[in-house]
Amino acid sequence: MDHTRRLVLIVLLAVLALLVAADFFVEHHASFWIDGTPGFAAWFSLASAALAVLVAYGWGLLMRRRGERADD
Amino acid sequence: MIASHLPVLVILIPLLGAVLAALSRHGFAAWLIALLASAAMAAASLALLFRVQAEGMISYRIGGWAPELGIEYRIDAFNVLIVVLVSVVALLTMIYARRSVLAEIIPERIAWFYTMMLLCVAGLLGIAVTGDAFNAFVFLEISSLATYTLIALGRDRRALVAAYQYLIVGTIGATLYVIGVGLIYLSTGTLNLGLIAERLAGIEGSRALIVAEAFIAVGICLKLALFPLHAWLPNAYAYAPSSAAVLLASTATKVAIYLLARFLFTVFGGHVDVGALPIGAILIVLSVAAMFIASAAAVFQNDVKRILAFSSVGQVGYITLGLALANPTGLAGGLLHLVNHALMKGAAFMAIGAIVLRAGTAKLDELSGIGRTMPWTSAALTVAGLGLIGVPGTSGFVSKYYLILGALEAGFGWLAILIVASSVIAVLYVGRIVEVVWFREPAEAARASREAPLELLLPMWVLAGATIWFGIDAEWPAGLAAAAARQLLGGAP
Amino acid sequence: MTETFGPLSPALVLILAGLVLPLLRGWLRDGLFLIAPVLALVLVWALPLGPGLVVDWLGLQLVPLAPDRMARIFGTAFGLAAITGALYGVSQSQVTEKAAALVYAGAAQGIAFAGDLVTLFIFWEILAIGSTLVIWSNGHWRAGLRYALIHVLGGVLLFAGIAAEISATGSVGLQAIRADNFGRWLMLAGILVNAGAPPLAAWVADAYPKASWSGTVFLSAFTTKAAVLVLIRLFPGEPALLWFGLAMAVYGLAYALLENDIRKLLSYSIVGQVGFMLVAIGIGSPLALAAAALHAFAHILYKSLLMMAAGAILRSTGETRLSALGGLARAMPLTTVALVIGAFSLSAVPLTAGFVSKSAIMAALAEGRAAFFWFALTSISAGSFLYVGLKLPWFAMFRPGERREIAEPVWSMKAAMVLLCGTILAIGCVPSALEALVPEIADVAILTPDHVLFQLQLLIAASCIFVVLLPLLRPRAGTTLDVDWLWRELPRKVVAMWAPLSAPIGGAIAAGCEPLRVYWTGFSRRAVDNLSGASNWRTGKIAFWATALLATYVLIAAL
Repeated sequence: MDHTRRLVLIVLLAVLALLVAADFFVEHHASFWIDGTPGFAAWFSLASAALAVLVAYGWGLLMRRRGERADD
Repeated sequence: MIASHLPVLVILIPLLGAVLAALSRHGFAAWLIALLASAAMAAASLALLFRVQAEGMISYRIGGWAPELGIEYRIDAFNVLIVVLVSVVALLTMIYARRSVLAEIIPERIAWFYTMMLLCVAGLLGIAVTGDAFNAFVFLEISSLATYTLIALGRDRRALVAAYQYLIVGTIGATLYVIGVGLIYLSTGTLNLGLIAERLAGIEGSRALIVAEAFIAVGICLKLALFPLHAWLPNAYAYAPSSAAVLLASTATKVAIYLLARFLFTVFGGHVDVGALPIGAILIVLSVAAMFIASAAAVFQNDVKRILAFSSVGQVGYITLGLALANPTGLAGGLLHLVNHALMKGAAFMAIGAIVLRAGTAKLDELSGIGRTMPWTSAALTVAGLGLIGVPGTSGFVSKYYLILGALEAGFGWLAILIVASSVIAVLYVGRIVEVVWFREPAEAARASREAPLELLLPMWVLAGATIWFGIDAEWPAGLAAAAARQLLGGAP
Repeated sequence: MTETFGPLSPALVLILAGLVLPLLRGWLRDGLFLIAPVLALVLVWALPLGPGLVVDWLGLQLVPLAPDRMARIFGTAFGLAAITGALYGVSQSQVTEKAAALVYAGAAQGIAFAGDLVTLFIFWEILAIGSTLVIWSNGHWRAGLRYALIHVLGGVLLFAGIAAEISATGSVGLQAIRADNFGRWLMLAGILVNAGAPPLAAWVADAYPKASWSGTVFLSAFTTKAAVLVLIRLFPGEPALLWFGLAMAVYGLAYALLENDIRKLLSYSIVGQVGFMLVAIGIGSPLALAAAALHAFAHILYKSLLMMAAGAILRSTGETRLSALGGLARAMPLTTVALVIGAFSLSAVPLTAGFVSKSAIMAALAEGRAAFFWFALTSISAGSFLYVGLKLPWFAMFRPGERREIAEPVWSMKAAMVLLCGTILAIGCVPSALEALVPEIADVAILTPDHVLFQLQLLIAASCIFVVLLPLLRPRAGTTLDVDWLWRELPRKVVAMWAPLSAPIGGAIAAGCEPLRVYWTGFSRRAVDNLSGASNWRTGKIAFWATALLATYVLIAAL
């Protein structure tokens, strides 16, 4: 991982930490209990985004072809 | 009171006009007389329509003689429709005719041309209004003789042959008809259609009547060009002068269909033994054959007039199919198609007449790109073509819709499918015209021509506009056709 | 009031303008192209709400113009899309595309205001024709044909369904139904084809990128959203839609993450976002339907904006592949801003229109206690930010790339993008302004601290993943296989496989059939001769037929 990317990641993680911290101080209106717990959005999003990338990457390994379609 | 003499006036006006036109000997004067006579005739027939709608059936006795002895004219919801159709189309044709006739007919013969046009219209109207079987024969002969002359006036040398062929076939048809009428007279002792219908009810199982019906039906079918008795028609329409072709294509066969319907339903419909049934079965077969074979023949023609003529034979099949179905919806569809087809075919023949006037040819392969130089004319031709296919939004769709409903009502699901399937053939021949006219690079004929004059465009677009208008606002014509169908199926004239 | 406006529907104005457009030249043409959509939008609001005029046509009770609230929401969205799309595309030189685009927009308005199934179907077909012409006018015949065929299939399914519905109920009215019999399933299937639902979703990403830089803007707005509207009217609360919608959301996400071509990526994303709407329609509560409509509204705005930015990039660079782009931010600042605002709106960043509508959808799911779909869509939302909010701007605009001598697009394109940016931000900042249009969302928490915080965590967390997994997301040239392989490549493969086999077999068959073929050739030649010379019968032949017919009649009658 090159230098800039690491820096950006550190900044983003810091912002995320701040947001999660702030989440402890607002009043939640949960729809399904767990989504009202502080920091839920952060970990849920980390998990789903990673899952989305991995699923898409895996699908790409299976279904991605070089070159254009023959009839385009 | 003039109003009470309206039924006879619609015939007297063109007859008188014909005499005056013949006496005038002068082309323009004859045209003016024909135009004025047609206008008066159209006004009289519209007045007649309103009277019939207000008062119901009108009976008019010539010279005050009782129907048993004299001739009775009967106007009801059915034939008033035909009268209005013929006279309005005749008026539009007269407006259209002047320029086209100047270009197509030798000056000395122009007066005769208008004389014959008026005589033909008088004969057609006479068939429509008369309530007398033999009087109908007389008018049939008047209109036929005038038609032979009109066709023979065409510029093409083949017009003479076409006219001669039509003369022979027409004469055979008229002879068969008059034999049938004679047989009826022997059995019933009257020539009045209403009285025949009444007296037939009292006659039991007469072979003579069956034969009479067969003679009359085949005789009239020759005149209305039912497949396979159609072969005189394409040449006659193709080589007749353009304006005569307009009149013939939109009115002549229609009046013959009227006469057939009158006999099938009003006269024989009420009789147990000679009901419409045996004729009906054959009629369905021949109608379907016309819808497919004649339309297929249209696809292979090169002359646009002949394409339209063959399409006419095919479209007549839809109308006779409506008659053969003999239920209120199907019959209304047939009658509606009678009117709608008259309007759209009139527009189509006016358009190709205008193209002949400007480009000098009706051959499809010489008309490439004519849409660029004659957009309005070509658009009218296209609208009429869409109507022939039965595209939604045109009147052709409405009448075919009723026909399909009628077929379903009669329990003939396969017939409904055949109606739709045969429309596909219309897509082919109309598509050919549209493709050549609009999508090809302009050929020599197209580059040399320009848009048709206004006096041709105006009547053409009245008919093309009616094709669209009756497709969107279907209430009025559909109501008239439904009333006519009820009248016919009700039995009494 | 309805009587005064009677036939003057927004659809008619646009379609007529589209038909007249090719006849005009110069500024008159441009003027009409710009004015007609404005006029249509004015009409959308001038038409008073009500049941509409009933027209009796061939015994069917048609309501060609039924202005209700849903019609107004979608009419407004379609109107805005047409206005900005026309402004954006006014410098397009292809008049066919402009005329087709107006007809296309008019058909969408017609669907919005249709009060019965028959009118709906007629505009449905005009919609298909208009959009096909938009694709064809850019010269992509085969792609246009594939698109047309898919929509013919959808149209046939819908027609069969409507015919079955009319014959079963005798009514042509638009009423909420469930897919509980075969006819209604056909109808649902026909609508779903247009919505871009699986298994035929591939047409969206196949067809839309084939239009010109301006044509795609129109395409992205109308067809799928018109289908959404029809689903809201006909199938609210249909359980099947929940699963169709979820499948579309997953499909859109996965394929967009893999895609390299900007406009193809955005097309996949259309499918994904329409999936969100379908899930909401599947919930079926008043709030859910309003949320679906609102999301369609917002989506039309931001997807138009995104397609405009993509079109601007295409027009300036001649390129839409991410792998070949980069470093455009400095040369095309306004386009970059437009792309980012559109992308942020799609990702539901607070203060954009997308945040409002997605909040409404989530609130509707929560209210409907659909926990599974709530968590699934929240998760997909986080994923969506990856491809549209991060991958797209980063690889196209911000990452270091070669310096290019390129210019910003012309003023009319910029003006259209500015207009849409303004609208999207205005709705995002003042969501209460929408309550006049969609009062159901009044109670939805949008700009509350916990909700904003929730969304920001979601987005920042996704950004962290983007940075960490950047190598996996690097765009690569190529294509992702899709269901359309079945009709685009399978036939070719079958033919290739068949070719070596076919020669001997074909030879054997040909030898066997030779006499038949000779006979058929002769027969068909004779048939054509007969038909083309059909009128040159001798008179005697006619007389013969007359006699034969007479004899038949007499025989049948006498027996």
